[in-house]
Amino acid sequence: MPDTLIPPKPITSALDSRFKPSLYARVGIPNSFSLESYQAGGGYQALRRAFAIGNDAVIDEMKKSGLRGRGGAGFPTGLKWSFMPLKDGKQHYVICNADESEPGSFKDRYLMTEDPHQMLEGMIIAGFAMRASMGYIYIRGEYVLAAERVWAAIHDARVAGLLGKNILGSGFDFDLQVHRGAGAYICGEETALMNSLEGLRANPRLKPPFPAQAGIYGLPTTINNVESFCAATQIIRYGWEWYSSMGTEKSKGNKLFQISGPVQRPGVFELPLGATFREMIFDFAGGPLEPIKAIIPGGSSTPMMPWTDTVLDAPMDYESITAQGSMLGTGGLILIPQNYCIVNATWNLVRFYAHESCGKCTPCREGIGGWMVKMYEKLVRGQGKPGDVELILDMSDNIGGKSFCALADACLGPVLSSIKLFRSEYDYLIANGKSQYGGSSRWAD
Amino acid sequence: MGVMEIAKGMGITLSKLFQKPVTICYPEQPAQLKARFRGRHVLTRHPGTGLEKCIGCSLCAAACPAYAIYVEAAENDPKSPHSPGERYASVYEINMLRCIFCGMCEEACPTGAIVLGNEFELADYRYGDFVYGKEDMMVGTQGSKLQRREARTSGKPVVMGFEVSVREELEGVKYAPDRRVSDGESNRASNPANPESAGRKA
Amino acid sequence: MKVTVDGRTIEVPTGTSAIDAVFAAGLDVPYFCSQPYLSPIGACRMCLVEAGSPRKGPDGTLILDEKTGQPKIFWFPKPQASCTLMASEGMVIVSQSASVKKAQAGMMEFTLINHPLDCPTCDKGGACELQDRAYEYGYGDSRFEFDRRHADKHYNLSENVVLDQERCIHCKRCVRYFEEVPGEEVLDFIERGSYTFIDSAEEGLPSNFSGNITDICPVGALLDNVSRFRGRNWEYDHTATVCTACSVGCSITVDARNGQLERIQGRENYQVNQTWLCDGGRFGHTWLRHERITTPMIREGGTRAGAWVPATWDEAIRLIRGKLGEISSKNIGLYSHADITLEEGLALERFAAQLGTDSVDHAPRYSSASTLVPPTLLEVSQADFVLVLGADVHEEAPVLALRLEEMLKGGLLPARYEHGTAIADLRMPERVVRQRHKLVVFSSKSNLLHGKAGLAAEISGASALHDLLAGSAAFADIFKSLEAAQKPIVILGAEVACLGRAVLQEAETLVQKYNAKLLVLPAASNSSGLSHLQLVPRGKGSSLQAMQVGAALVSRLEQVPADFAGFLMVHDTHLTEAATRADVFLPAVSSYEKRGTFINLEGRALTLRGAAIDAGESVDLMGVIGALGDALNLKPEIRGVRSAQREFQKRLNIDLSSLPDEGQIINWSGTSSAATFSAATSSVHSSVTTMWKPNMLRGKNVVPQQARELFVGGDD
Repeated sequence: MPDTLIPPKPITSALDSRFKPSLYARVGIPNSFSLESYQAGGGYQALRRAFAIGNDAVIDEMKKSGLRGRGGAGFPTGLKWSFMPLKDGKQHYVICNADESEPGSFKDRYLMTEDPHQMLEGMIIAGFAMRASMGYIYIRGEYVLAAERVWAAIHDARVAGLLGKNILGSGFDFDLQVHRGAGAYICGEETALMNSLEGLRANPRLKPPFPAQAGIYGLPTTINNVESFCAATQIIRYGWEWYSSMGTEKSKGNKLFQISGPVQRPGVFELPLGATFREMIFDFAGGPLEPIKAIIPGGSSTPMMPWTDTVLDAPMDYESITAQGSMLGTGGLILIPQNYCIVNATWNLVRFYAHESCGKCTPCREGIGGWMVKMYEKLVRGQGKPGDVELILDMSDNIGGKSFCALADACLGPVLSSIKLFRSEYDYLIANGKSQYGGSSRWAD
Repeated sequence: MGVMEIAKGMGITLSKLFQKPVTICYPEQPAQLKARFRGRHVLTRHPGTGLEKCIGCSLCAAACPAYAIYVEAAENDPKSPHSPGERYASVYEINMLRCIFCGMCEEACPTGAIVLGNEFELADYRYGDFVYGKEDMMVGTQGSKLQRREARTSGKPVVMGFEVSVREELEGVKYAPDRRVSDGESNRASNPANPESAGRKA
Repeated sequence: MKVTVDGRTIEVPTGTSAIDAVFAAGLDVPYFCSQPYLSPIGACRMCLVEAGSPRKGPDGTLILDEKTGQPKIFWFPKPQASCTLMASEGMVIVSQSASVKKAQAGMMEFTLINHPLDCPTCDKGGACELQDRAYEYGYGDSRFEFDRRHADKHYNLSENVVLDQERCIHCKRCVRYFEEVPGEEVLDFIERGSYTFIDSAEEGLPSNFSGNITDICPVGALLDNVSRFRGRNWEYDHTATVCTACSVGCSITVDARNGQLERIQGRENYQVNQTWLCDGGRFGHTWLRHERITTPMIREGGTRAGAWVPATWDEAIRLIRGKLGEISSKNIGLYSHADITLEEGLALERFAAQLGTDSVDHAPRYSSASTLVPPTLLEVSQADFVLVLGADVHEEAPVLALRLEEMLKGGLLPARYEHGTAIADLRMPERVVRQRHKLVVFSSKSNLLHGKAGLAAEISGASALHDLLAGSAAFADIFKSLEAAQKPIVILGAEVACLGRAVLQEAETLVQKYNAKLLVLPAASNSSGLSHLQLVPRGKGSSLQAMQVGAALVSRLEQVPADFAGFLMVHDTHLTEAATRADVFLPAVSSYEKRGTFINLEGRALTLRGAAIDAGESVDLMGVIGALGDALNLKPEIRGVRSAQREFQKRLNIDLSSLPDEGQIINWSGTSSAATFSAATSSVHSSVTTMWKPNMLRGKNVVPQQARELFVGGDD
């Protein structure tokens, strides 16, 4: 069957008739989250196929599919799985990072509320491939419904013999447990997540050792995003050839893109990698409601991009966006309207990072949490003075690349790009004490 | 050397005969001190709260080239603090015989607690009496140990033989008027520009 | 492997961190969060350096620079934290460039924005890592124009440690220390981001080793409450000496000001205490300044009922001469505490021989000592199985418990370089799982070690030993572990050691059977050294329990038998219970004021140096022996440290006057002093020092109490 799906040319547009939604295919079906509905739609076929082809073949297929981690960093998932010391005889763990806390990103939420079994199946496959017998799902604390649906799904799967001892008669034992976070963005960082799971303070750990050598409880662990596990289900179900037929040369497959801001239809859209921003914003989201000046392409931590034709026609894949000076991240587009003060918008993001800094390392704790946020507050309140922007740039230079984990660098994404693209707005605000777009007190009170 | 030169020289000499003398009949007359004269140390207090400025940090002792200062610190009782913050000087001693009045302590002091004042009449009879403790230097205490002893026995106030305009750093320092000279006699004014001026012109 | 640091190519062992490579090259990098004996975490980000390393191409050879033909260096895009960066073959590190200086100064600026400027009131001032580093590496100015964060100031974490949350720079040393070294998680960060602060949820700090956090805190956030505001760091007279509170012999720095002992800090000795001290050794010194007597005293009217009157040494000697003239010198007893130096012990031994008296004794002691070579403390931390019998290690030799904790962690010690112990040894991870099965503890009372051991029971150490020798089936697992272990160690505590020679023999049999090493925890700090001197009653000599002598010199012992009626000379620092019954009181110096040599539980000779403490006319035991000789018209053979050391040079072929800083293990076997004493009885039941009980630390009569509990008078 997969042979017929190999196209002459990769699918890089959702408007391409060959493109078939898979991750979100079942969203909208009544009771889509129930085991019966999932199995009726061919659910757990991928798991059966995985048992049939064997665990090494699963990792091989994952490698060939070209799937890159959907949590933001884009590290090849198959390669990550192959890093696990498969034959050391130790207990291995699979962890699902469902701590989706990045502003602008809300794809995993619906994967869990609408189709939790897809994720469970992916995790069981991953556990099978990596010889793990235990898996944890770390769900963001605010996702109450998602946690309930996943709990129910795990229960149903256990009852159906899809979890627990000797799954589907394959001799493979695997179980899952849900852990709910308590509201910390840093828990999305894999080592901090493991600390949090262990009941410790959620500070990132030193790498090396990497989780594949010493992860949770010091044992080999692999952490993947919800979407990555769902994609794994689809890859094993339909074969790597089908999956890699979508996307561009280096960014294969499909991805969930989210769009928020002043557009007709904000939401989550499943597109092949390589679809353009224009397609996403105009064809799917229905176009902007008001003039836009900047796009944040992949969640709040990615640098802003200007609203230009070059950017709009750029394909949304890992390489092209990097070439444009930003990152694909989680694929969470945020549109910033023309008449909204960019300093205020940046301050809003900086406040988020200042609030979420874990406090472990100095540049993030003092630089972002103690100083940068105060600088922005001062600017937005119209108390800025000439030289402040240079000071922010110099502080950014002292923070950038020097923090322990990527959180501080993530904060610098919007800061540096907003200064680079909209320096005149900063200068106007400092010179006049208020922004030319008004609204600068929207968050100040 | 000609006659002219001698005449010129004598002229200068003779002209001085008709000027007022610059020498002072100290101690009958008060000595004239410049505001920045460095005399006996004063430990100042914060003007509003009246708390001691000294926090017992010993930096003056560290700076002292003559090793004349000894400080022992203690923790403030929060209910009745001696100084703002957690630390105060429970012992503060300066050996006036060792002190060279260089003012390094004043420079080192982070709170401006120790300031060199203007008193210089520090003569005394015993070595031990030259070690000035906190109570001898705290602002409000006037005169040397000997002067105060004499004042106590005689029942008369401490009298100091100088007049000076007080610097701002000497917060709260007021030198008592000298009763030896009547107001009419003394017309040497302290610096009138300085409101803190507390010379003899009271 | 070869690493190039600022143009200097140096050879470092594999596994060296970049920060150690920089120090090995003789250069400096600022750091706060690294501490040689703790795991590196890279939290402070001060130790930024530029680094790059050559890479191998697909063909396995180094990629060469086209221009120079040398291996091409691939640089990290930004300065890296060198404490968490592993140096690699051919790595190039730049630690002194302008961009590194800027990065470090920028980080310093961040560190300082919320740090209060109360250095003048801070006890750390003058010895503060942050102060020094800010001076060396900072901008000297701050561009931060907002209010600082405010938090709790001077808030007592325990009676001995005071916390100032505002001063904390979040280096996490204290948090890691508690987890990694004593293995008790007490402190942690609370809140997050810029509101993060250090606190404990416990009531006080339960650890017996809490004072160490005051040493490792790089700022004045955690301070010693005992020495709080007693002096500034530059005012103290620092003396590097050894703690004699127990037999471990930790290296300490004694800080005195104006002739008063004000503070004790840990000093690095890789072999013994690393840098750690127990709270008893660190804080338990305040007894010395209270009610100390520093002049000889005699009785008014010459009778014991008379009140004490201060006297000169001449008067005291005259009185002694008068009294001892009536007594045969064989009828004079010489008794001393067992924490005297080796030199004092020798003087006592020789003087007893000179007098011809057999009544010489020291306390506390056991009736005999083992002649087996004890394991070193490093061997304890690297053992693979430890059996503790009848010992309360946290009480008898506290810092040994830290080495046991290290053993449970796998015995990984930081590497050592020419510049000192590795600042950041990347082999040491955070939160190591303890291999509890490697520790078995049997003692009749539950103690802190019970909670750490894989197997622990409240049974008497002696009966456990007996059953082990009998091959009891209940101990099958232990036999298996002992047999499997390469480096097993048996630790014997007071509970067993005080039972006498027979039980000791049993233990020796046990360790020989399993090729283990035997560590008998000494009864007192210098017991190990004194056991090789003849300081126990010989022949008809009278022991300390009996004291059937006409006159006795009792040095720093709390009690004398109630029925003793002879002439009593007490040599002590305080008016103890024994002193109340004395005829003459001779002032003694404390161990902090002595010069001499001290042998710790592993047989290591360590040098004591006298701190600048005003002890008035106090003398050590050699001085008292000199006075006694004066009174008896005898010239003691050993009259000073130097003559004693000359004698030891003959006996042991070791020059005790120039021992290395880490001390030297003395090999007694084959020397004339190889034999250890064997007395009929021991003078101690159990060794309970209660060194860190609050009353010990703050109370006045600490020595008397310690002696009271050590010297219980009875025997087995």
